[in-house]
Amino acid sequence: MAINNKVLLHHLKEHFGNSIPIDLLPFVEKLNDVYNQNESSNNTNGELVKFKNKAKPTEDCEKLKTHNSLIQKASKTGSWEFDYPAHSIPGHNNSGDSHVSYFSDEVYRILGLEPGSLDINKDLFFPQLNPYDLNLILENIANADQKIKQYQEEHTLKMEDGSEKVVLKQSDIFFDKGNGSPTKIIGTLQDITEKKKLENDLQSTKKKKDSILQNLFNAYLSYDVINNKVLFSNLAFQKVFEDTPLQNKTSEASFLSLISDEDKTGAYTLLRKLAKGETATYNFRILLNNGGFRWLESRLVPTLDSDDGRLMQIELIANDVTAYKQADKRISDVKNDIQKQLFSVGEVVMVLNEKLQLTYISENVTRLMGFMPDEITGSALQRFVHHDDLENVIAFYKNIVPGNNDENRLAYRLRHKNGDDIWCECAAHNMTGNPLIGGIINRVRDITFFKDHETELISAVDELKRVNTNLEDFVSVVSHDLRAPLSSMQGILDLIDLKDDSVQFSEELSYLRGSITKLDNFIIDLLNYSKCTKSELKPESICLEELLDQTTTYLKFMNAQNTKVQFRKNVKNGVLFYSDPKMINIILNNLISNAIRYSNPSTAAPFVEVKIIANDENAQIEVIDNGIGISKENQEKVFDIFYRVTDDNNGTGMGLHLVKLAVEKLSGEISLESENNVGTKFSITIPNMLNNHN
Amino acid sequence: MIAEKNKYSFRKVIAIEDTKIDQYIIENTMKKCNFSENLILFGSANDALSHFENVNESDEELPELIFLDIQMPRMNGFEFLSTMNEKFGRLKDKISVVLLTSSLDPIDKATSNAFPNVKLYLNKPLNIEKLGRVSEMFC
Repeated sequence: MAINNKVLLHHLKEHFGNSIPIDLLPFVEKLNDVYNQNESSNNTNGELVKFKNKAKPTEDCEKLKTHNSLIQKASKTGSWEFDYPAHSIPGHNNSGDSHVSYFSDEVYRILGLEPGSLDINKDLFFPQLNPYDLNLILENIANADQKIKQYQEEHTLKMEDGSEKVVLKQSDIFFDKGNGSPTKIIGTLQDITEKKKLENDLQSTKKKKDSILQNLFNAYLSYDVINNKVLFSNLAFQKVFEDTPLQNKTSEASFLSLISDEDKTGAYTLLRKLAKGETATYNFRILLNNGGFRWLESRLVPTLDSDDGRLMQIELIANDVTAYKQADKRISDVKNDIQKQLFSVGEVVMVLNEKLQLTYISENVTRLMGFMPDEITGSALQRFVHHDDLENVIAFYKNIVPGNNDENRLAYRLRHKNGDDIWCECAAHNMTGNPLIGGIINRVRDITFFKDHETELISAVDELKRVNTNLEDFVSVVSHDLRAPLSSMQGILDLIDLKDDSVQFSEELSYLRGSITKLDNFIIDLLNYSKCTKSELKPESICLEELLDQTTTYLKFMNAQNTKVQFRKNVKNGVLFYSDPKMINIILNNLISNAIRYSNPSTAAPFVEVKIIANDENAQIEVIDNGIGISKENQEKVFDIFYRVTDDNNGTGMGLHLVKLAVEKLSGEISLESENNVGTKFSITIPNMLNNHN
Repeated sequence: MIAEKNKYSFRKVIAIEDTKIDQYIIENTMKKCNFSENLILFGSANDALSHFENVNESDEELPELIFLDIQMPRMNGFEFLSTMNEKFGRLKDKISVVLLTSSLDPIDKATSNAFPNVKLYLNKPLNIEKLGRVSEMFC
């Protein structure tokens, strides 16, 4: 509304000059109405009106000024007025300087000055601005040309004592009605230092809080119930969405849709609790893409409206307890498994009183005996025991006395409901003294399977023993029956030799004789082989020298044609020696006959030497010759069965193998050293079985 | 007559042997070396026992040596020796026994030690060299 009353305009000009303070404008407008009304109602008496109206505005103005000053002081808001620089008015000369035309007292105070203490000019205000803020202000002023009517600036002031003030400056730009160019800026200046400080404190406190919540290991969600929106959620809360259909997709509030249906049912009770202001815990599952669950254990804290008690906000703190839940489940699975195992393969537990009545019987008896526990509880055990075992069973339980912690076991047969006999092994403890048990604890195990196989095993062993005995008999009988006709053939050959006309067949006969000898040697070795592998050792007191003499005598007799091999013996044998003479015979016989058979034809003085040193511990036997020797590569193989180094016709390929078997049978050791065309040395150690024998 | 007597190592020898071929060997080997003036062969131990039941106990009638096989059907050599010693105990000092066997079983050898009238244990086949050893032993 324009101020059009001429009287008022005059007064105003007297008081304020050309510009009326903007905060007085509403008041001035009202005054304008009052002046106009007075003029129209009292047109004839202009003087009176003039008098009345002259005194009143001045009084009111003073009143207004006082009030205004108080308001400004209380709100720490000053007001100011600034004449627009003349040069910026189009068509105007650039002669005039812009200047501040009004500062309220409060503006002086904000600037740290006594009200009215200094002349107002732009230098009073601007130097105290930060250079950065100064640019902003100048920019705003320049922008005013573009018809911006109002703007706000917040900037700091540097006080003389070095402190800073934050001020809020609000400016209104007035334009000339005629040419539309800006004429002046009227504004307020408010000291907001304290408010700003509080705001900053609040901000940093909030930041701190948020940072703590953000980095919390637990998932945290703050939820506005009334507006149905999430106020805050932290990083850990994002993990709730991992591996779900909503990962990286929607707002946090949607997590409610991920809660498994089973767990949603609990939500109603939960909300009622929260509505009453009670803290609640809520464990729920989040459905995952793979069909699995994420277990969350949460704690919910409600905030109620202090006025009407409505539920306003819920804070949710949650932990992912999937791992615990899974471990828990595994433990309970294992527990179930173990229980299952116990009941499927475990022992049946029976408690017997002194009359051997069943006072308790475990569930798994049904598997063992076919009866339900109730069917036989109270019955006497004897009712189910096989008749042949009854006497043993009664005696067994009679002997189980309290306090004896030894394992008392007895195997006997119980009768199954279907009439079958079940072999059971029962372990019994007398726990009559224990009030919880009050009887003999009898743990029963089904051993029918083992019993059946035990019988099978025993008969199998018997069968094997029988076959083995038969086989030994068989070998010796067959060997004998083979040898008898051979010796007859030899005898006939001997007779043919005696005939005068045998000369014409001498070559053929010598082949025949060679074959017979070879076959005979083979039979002898077979017999020895069966001795070495099958017979038990029969240790006896032996004289090693005597055994050696027997062997050499026999060999001399058998190998009359090889007598050029000289035999030497070197025996130190003064102790009682126990061993199996058959085995030692096999050893000496084969080694010496080998030495004779494989003597070196180019050696002038072939020999075989046997050294024997015996003591209480063992006998060392060495058989040394200067024969053809055994090459290195053959030394490993000579003990193998049927391995033959030479093409010698009389060898069976069993001799050294028999030696090895015999040495092993005696728990002895054998080694050999040999060099081609130099000779061979066999070294044997045989333990004295004197101690075993006693 | 003296020359005739010296021709043989023994006057009368009995051989108990079940196989024909071995009987042949015994008979012919002994013949070759003039081992015995008189050889009586029995195919079984029983036949030999019957012979002793009927024989006159005069020294002329009795043999100086018995060659005895061990492995024989029905009654073996050791059973023969037991029965012989039981029935004709007084003869056991007068007649020496030579075991002639193809057995290499040491048990047989050991068993033979139980009979004092067994003087020698020979492995078959019998030949002149072995008979020579017998002659050396007894003459």
